[in-house]
Amino acid sequence: MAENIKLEEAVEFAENPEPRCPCVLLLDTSGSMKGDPITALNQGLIAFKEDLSKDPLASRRVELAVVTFDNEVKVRQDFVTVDQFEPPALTAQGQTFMGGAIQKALDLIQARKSQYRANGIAYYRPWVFMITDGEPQGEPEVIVQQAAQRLKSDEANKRVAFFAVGVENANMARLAEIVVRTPVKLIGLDFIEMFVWLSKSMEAVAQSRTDEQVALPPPGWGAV
Amino acid sequence: MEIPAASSKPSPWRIIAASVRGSSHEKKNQPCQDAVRWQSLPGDSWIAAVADGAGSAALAEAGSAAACAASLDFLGRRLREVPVPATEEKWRLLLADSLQAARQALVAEAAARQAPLRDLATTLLLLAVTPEAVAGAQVGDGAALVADSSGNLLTLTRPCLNEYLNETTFLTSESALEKPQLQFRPGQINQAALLSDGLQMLALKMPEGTPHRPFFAPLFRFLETAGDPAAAQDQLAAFLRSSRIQQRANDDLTLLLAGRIPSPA
Repeated sequence: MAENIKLEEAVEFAENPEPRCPCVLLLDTSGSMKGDPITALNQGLIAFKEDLSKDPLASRRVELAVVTFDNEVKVRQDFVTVDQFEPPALTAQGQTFMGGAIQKALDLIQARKSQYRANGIAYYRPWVFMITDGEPQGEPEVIVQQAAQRLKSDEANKRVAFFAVGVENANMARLAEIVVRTPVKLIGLDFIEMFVWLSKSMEAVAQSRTDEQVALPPPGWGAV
Repeated sequence: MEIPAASSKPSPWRIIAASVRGSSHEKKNQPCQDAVRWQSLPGDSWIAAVADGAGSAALAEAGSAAACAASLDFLGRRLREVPVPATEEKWRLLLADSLQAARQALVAEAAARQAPLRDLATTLLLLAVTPEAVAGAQVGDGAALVADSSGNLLTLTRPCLNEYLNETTFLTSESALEKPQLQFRPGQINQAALLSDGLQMLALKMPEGTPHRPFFAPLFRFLETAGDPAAAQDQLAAFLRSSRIQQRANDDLTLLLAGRIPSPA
């Protein structure tokens, strides 16, 4: 009676677009980052690409964008998957327009989500990963306040998960006032360790589900 | 995975299920956190449950097993002891009570293990099939599909449409039982499938959650022509472990297939 059906050949899969996991790197390129810090950061970005490329699912699903901030807020890289991500060679100069940078990151995410929705693409909660060695500088205080306000509302409404990392002399107390999640202090300039951790975290996010909170492995590269 | 032995009582239904560990769980050395169970009831009826323990929860496999067992025990007992619900409203109440029973079992399990309830986070899908109707309940991801006598395959309960793919509702959430999906369709069905969220993107057109027929048709034909149910179950598990599937899905995968087999007479 057995009509010999080879399931592996007979069953066809639905063609759904690959779900996307957007991540914005928001990087401080102000003058104080000059020298070792910016060099270490650039090396970290290369390590990030290398590590993320090793995970086949994450490399299809994670989309990266890079925004830098000094006296200017610049989108260095709009959202691309890892294979198309060229780690930029960043240079350091000027002041720290952090408020405008936060606004820009949240704008990018909002726009990307609209594109996903318009194309029927499922997505994960977007991440912003901000790295700074200072505090807002050179901007009117009201811009920083507005950015902090918007960030609070976006976190409360689960629009984004925003992580802040302080480097060397970063003003951690000030950072804690601006962002919702407790900022993490990078130990030394171990950007490579940090980016490998970020890559692992993105891989975990891109292939599992969490209940409400984004669950993260404890960082070995920083202190709260 | 816990699969009860097939009943020796002749039933027009043939039911097989398989639950396999996902490749990402293998990498992290996590157990399969899905669970599937079913039981036959008198009068050519049957009930089934699929639960998908959250990868981030420490005791997910205990949560999914407890949710399946408790909900089926409760639902089975009620369907044996009291008349089968005659109205949609009564079915909805019975299913809601069954979900409640599963949640209470998780609360008890958490207390016994002195663990927080969230460590047992799991989704839960329930299906009850009688000759007169089908009823389904769902908290979280996964889907239940049924085909009527003319072979139209429909989604009975579907993946919950939260904004983010990786954030679903679990039975352990505070709000889990506020508005679960409770669905009822009068009339006889001939086929049914339950799947956990690992198969969603392959078996359903998302985000609508409608069935992708070329996925299901060969599976139901396989079920119909299968000989020994135990061997068929092994073949189903082998299919879920095949590289074609594992390349596209790395979560735990569970699939239950049920078909009314035409009697030879």
